[in-house]
Amino acid sequence: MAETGMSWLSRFRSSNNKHYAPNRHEGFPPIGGLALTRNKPGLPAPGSPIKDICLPAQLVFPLVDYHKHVLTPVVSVGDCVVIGDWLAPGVLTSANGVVSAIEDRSIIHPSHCSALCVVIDTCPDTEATLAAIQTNEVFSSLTAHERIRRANVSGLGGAGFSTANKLAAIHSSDIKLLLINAVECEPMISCDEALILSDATHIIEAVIQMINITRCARCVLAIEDDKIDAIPLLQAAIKSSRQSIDDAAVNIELILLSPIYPSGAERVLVQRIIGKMPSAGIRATDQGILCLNVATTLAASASQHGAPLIWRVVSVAGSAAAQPVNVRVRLGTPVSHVLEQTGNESAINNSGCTMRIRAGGPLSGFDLPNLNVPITATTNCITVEPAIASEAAIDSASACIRCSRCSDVCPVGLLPQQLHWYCDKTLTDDAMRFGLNDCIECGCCDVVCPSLIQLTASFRHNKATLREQQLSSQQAQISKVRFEQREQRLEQRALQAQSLRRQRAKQLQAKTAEHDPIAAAMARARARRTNK
Amino acid sequence: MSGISLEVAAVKYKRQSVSVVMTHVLIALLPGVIVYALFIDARVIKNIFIAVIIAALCEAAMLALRRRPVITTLKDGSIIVAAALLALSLPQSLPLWQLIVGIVVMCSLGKHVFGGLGHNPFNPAMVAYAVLIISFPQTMTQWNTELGLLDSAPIHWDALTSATPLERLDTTLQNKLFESTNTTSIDKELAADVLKQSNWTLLAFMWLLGGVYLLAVKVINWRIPVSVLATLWLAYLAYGSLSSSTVIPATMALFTGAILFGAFFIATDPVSSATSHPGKLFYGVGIGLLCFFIREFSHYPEGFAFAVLLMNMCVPLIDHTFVRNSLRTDNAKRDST
Repeated sequence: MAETGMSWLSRFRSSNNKHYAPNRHEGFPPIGGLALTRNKPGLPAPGSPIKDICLPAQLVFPLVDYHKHVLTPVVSVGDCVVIGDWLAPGVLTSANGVVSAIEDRSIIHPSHCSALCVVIDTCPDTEATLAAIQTNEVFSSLTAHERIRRANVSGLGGAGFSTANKLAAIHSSDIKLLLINAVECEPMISCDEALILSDATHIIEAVIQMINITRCARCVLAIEDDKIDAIPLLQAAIKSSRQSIDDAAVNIELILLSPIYPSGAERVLVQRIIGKMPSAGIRATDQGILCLNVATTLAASASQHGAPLIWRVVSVAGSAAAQPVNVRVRLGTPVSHVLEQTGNESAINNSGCTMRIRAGGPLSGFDLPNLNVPITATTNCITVEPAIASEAAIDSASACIRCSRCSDVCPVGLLPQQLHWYCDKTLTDDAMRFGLNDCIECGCCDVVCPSLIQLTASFRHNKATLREQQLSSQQAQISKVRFEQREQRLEQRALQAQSLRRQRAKQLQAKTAEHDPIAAAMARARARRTNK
Repeated sequence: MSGISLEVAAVKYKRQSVSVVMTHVLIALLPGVIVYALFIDARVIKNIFIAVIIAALCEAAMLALRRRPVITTLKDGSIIVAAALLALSLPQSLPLWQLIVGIVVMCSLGKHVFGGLGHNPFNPAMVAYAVLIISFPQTMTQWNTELGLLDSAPIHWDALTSATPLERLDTTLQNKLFESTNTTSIDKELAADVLKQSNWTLLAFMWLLGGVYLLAVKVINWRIPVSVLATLWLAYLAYGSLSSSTVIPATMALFTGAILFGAFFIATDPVSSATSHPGKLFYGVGIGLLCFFIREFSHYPEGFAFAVLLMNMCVPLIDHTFVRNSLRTDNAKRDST
């Protein structure tokens, strides 16, 4: 099936890569994207574990979800928390400690905004904490999906969607394809590859566990064909799992893709595997495809044994990094602590003057406001770059000449030149019609733009503004409905009261008509008079 | 949302900046200009030189008036390309003052009244061409060719005073019609003969060569030139088979006049052309058809400028219509629900 869409180019590629596997598959060619030179420093040697970073004195947990919706804390200052306790719906503590503050702190976000955060003074962990969760009676009665929700597993690739919500979006009987995403095309980011290199067997076991949980019809493990160290490890692990489990249902297809950035983005990956891009506004889950990053798969599998999602692998790289490395970091760890522990002290001291610290890779990433921002589940990479005269770069941006290089490389088939025009003129309706909300913010258009226009930043900004507008208009709508309901209620009540009053008046009238007290009094007086 | 970060780090990727794009266009023009100067009319060099200088001055004045950075904007080279293209589209015998009028119109009415580079709805060079041909029809249709640098004695009519090469061909064909009754075969021979003799055909080949270079360095997309040329070819083929009168053979028609020059250098102007892939095809077909109709059924021997300007007017509509397919289907779905 996959062969039908192969271009002559990928066929040529495959002939060069014959040494891989006997039953090798190739995906479909992408509709856009960039072929970037592989640049992945700091990978561990195959089989060697990823270094853990020691627990910092303080952990910070932003109480916002991906859409900047503020979450309400369920703890208060002074509370003692242990690993796996909820701080707010959707936020777990990753260490034992005491809540020392709940306050506004800056977070990792392209807008450099701040958000309400729970700050925890940590105390050393005890293994007993984790063991206690695992032997917890309540825990052992949970279903697989509930365990994933309890462990707060969320996407460790890019968007950070809750895995439990993703699972809930598809009825488990409808999962046609479980797509494990090991594609990481952006230079500098190598955290998923590091995971595979350090423990491929574990990953394959986790994939098999997810196959059993989801009972999917087909399972695909997608990886780029230039990860030449990781692929043999995965192949060996799949082979040995087949021998040991001997289960016909468990069949992991390893699909090797040509490394075109951004094939790791969910929409693009789905297109490269099934050959068709999901239509605008339609998620992979709507088509019965469950797409999980390898790290997420590992976390989901660990959640079945009670381990909550408390750490992730972060790549520390960049042209000015002293020592590119992949490290395992507790969620909530400040970036400065990560840099300190990875030998990049100079970056901390020179941040803002000669060095720039960025979250994410060189294309999709953005500068950090300061180094106290905490690592979250979506922080896959910290890059240390030499400072550039950023003002000069912005100044040199010239007018769009509509050369359409951006639309040639757009991996989701948008027309960035048109979007740019509409965003520039704040014609948001037209921008929406041209698919502004389908932009995956990959940054390909920025790289090819001959006029050096910062397209992605503008789209990101406009998307956020639009989302805020929608949110406020939604809220206005809700308030309007509430107000109208109240008015209606008051009116109804007034009407009721009025009708009640009328009824009473009528009753009174009827009563008086029956025996008028005045007439009766007069009759009595008359009677008295006649008696006299 | 406050203080959005306006930076995305550069990746090691060979980016073609606007000035590089413009340099490629100038390189692509080079073989054509050389052939033009050597075999047709040496004045072209002088005219291009003057046009570029005046255009740069005019552009600088416009930028200064609009309070925009002058030097950095001039550096992108777009005005040099526009001036060279205009100078190449005009007859080299055009009086200097008329050339200057053309340049000033190109800079002001063609470009800066709309907001400068990237905002002009019409191809600036073609705006100037249209203004000139309407204002000065006599000088604009007299292709008073002097000797090329390498031309020998003025034996054949390249060195003679004549109308446009295209008009000349038409006239020759019609003269022949009076003499002979068996038209088609002789006409074809004659046309081939005329074209072979003519250095204009060589020039057309040079424009084709330049166009292929632009395609190779990915400065232009194949869709516009291919659709323009294919439409014209089919139109001449159909016209030739339908009408009994003399028509130049379809393939040769592509090598006459400004068709190859226009298809590769004029119609492909990114600013004023359609931007989506299907839109580009539509735009090219429109130019091809309009150009054919103007050439064959109007008083103007060469209709490329008007075809381009008319299609420029349609570009907003084309761009509005051709949103990518995936988006359209979804919009339809959203509308229906």
